[in-house]
Amino acid sequence: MIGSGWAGLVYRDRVEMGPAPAAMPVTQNESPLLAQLGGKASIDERQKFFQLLDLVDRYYVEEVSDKEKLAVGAVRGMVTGLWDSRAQFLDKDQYTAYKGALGGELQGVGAEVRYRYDEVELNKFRELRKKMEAAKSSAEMEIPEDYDPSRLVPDLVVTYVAPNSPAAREGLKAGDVIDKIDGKRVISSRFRKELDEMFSQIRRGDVDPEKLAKLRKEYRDNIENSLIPARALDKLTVEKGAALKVTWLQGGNVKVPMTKTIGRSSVKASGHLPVGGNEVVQFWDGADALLAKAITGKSKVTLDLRGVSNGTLSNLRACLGVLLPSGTYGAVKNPKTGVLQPFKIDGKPGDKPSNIELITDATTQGNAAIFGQALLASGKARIIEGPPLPKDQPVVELIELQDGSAYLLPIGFFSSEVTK
Amino acid sequence: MNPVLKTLLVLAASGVLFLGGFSFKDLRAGRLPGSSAFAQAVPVTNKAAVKKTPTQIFSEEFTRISNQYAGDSDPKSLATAGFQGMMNALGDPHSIFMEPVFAREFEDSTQGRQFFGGIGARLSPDLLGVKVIQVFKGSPAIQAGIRTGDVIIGVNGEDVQGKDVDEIVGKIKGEIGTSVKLLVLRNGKDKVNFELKRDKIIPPSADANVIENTNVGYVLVTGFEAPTPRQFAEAIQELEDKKIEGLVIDLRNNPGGLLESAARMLSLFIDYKPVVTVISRGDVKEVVNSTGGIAKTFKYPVTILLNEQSASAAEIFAGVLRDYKLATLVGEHTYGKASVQNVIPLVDGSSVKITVAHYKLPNGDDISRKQDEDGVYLSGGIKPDVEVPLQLNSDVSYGDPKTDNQLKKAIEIIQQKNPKAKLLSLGIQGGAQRIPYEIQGEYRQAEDQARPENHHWVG
Repeated sequence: MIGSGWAGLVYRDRVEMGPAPAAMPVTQNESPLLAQLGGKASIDERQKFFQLLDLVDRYYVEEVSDKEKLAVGAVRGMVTGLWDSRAQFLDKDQYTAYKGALGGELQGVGAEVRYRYDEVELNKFRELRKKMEAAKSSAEMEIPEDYDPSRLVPDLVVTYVAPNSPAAREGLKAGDVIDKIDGKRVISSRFRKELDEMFSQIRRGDVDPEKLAKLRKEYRDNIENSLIPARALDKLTVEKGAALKVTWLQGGNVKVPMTKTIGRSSVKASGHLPVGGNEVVQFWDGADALLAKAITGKSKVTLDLRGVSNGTLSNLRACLGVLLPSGTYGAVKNPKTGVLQPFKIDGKPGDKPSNIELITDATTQGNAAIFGQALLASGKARIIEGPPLPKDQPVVELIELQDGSAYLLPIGFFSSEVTK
Repeated sequence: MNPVLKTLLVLAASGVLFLGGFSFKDLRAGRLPGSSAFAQAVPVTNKAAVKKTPTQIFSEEFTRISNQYAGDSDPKSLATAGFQGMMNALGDPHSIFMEPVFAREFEDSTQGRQFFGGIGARLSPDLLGVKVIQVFKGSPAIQAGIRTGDVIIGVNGEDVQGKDVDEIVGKIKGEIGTSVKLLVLRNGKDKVNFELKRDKIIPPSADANVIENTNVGYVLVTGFEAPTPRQFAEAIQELEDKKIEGLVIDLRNNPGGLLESAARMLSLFIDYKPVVTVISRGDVKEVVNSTGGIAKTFKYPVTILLNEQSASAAEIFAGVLRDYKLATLVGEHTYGKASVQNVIPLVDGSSVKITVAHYKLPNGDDISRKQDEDGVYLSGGIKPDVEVPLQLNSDVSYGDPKTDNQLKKAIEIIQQKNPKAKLLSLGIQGGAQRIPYEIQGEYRQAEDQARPENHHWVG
């Protein structure tokens, strides 16, 4: 096991530290949707957690004075264990960067980058888990041969690029996938597959020893020169410092890679930008006021929903309040609990436009799509350019923990059809 | 099972491996929660005026996620992921929570109870199928007359040439008591048919053979499990009966195991002497000694093969023999795991593996691994006396001195120390540079046939 086991060791120590999630504004939790939290913690789980704390307290080689860290670690574990691209844990630094981004101030290269799991791998993994858990008792539970959570490494996808940022200057766009930073490959499920393929080729052997030796060296170098996604993300969106040489796959297409050196400096972007007569709303703090100012006295407004930052749900609602009178413009449904909550908007004072035009494309997702659907539900808006809006976009809440970290949790899907 | 996964499982176990928890920055800086980020935080609904206890934090968020999350999740896996994340937050890759199925697997592997239905041979990839590297004692394979060097080219009537070794191994393994038909190529020309009944196979963690054409013994130790000391002692005895003049103990890729097993195996070499000093919390020191009265005199040179995958008990074994000047270490630096874990079973079948101590070798060495923030090795581990990187430009088959340059070096060292040890039939002493040209030709040929680099336990 020249390659693989060795890789296993190196891999293990690195991946265990685990990618921390993206500093990616999605929503925040002033929303009324979270308020009606109910239910009781299972006594079993609570006791077990307490028991673990006690074991660590008694036996761990060093005294652990900060037990809050362990509880927050547990939350991190639970959130990441959902294996959901929308559910993300933000450590303290990431959450600080996240909050900065909500004010329009982006760190690093000036882009939002988030994790995206490979749905095929994810489904395979879920199936295997189900198979395992179908066993009557844990004594009968077997680990399937192909059970391999290490294949579930997310891709790093660019979701928003701030205008005038170093990233924008070098041509980075929403939808691009980060592949390399300073010559180091970002570990992804695709990279993992490539390594597997290479390893199996090495094992099959080749009549040409030189070719085989080359392949072995490549395999080893590949592993040594790699970055866990969390590191890559921090380099791109949290850290300050020297410019980065970044290779990305344009639109996620492996065949069109692009390599540029991108500087890192804090970028202040506006929550609202008029572009060629169209309005571009970022759902950031203060966006509603900027939007209100921009549309004053206009009966027709054209909104460009392409490449829009996700921002927060509450900012999104505030912006809707600028455009629409008070009312219900859809619902949030939780498919698990069956709960359906009306999506109510409080209209802001001021004239409302009577004619709203929307421009969309494939990047119009998440909050941008929810925004567009609520507008369509009002009957005042129509899409003048681009595809229809994707349905059932996740509604994501932000929960802050007392140590300054936070996490994002999808609590339902937006539906515009239950508006009446 | 996928070899990468195997390593991951044995050492780290289960579910939320990738995302389960270490905050990178906390780890790197080893710092406590800072106040600056906290101060900047906007007030949100979830923040209580009174600080919550760790158990409250866990229990509230557990409830929130299980009740509110819109996707698929069940409370059991959610809690498991939480417990894994909690242990990961210690920042110690060796302290982990194992859910029941992994806890059981781990326990079976340390107790040497892991078994499968198979034929009882070790196989390695080959261009024509899979090559038999070793046949276990008392196995269906040995009873049927399968020999080392046989190449399995057909399984149950199916031609397996060009297939991945995992796939072929998967076909050979099966339920205990069922039959499997094998077509075997012997001596490169004779086709022989076998029908074997699969049996319960527990691969030995230590076993021996005399290296072909030499009088040097070779013991491959793949772990330090509960039965390993007995198997190791038997292996040494078997080799001594064959009058070996040198011994190579191969600890490459050996991830370690039980400290007690290492101490018992060392008792063959050192008579009631300190093995390691175990240091637990509060600088409490305890010396672990080898057992007295079973040490023997090794009248021939001993070399130990190491690489970066040699860890924990393997490092103790090698380090102790080095410190007592009883063996020459050959190969590459080891992993550098200088800590001791206890496994604590919980009532529901899950368990916690937790670092309870560090240890030091007899000469006081702390071998702790230092690595950079990307996990790449910086220093630590045991440095071999004779450093020999594995040559990647040849086609390596571990345990075969023709292609395994580390083993070849180990044999050369034995030969330098003991003139009675020889590469008998080749009649050469020393390195590749002395090999006559014609023999080099033979080497090349041998390499082409023996593709393997990955040995697989099979049934």
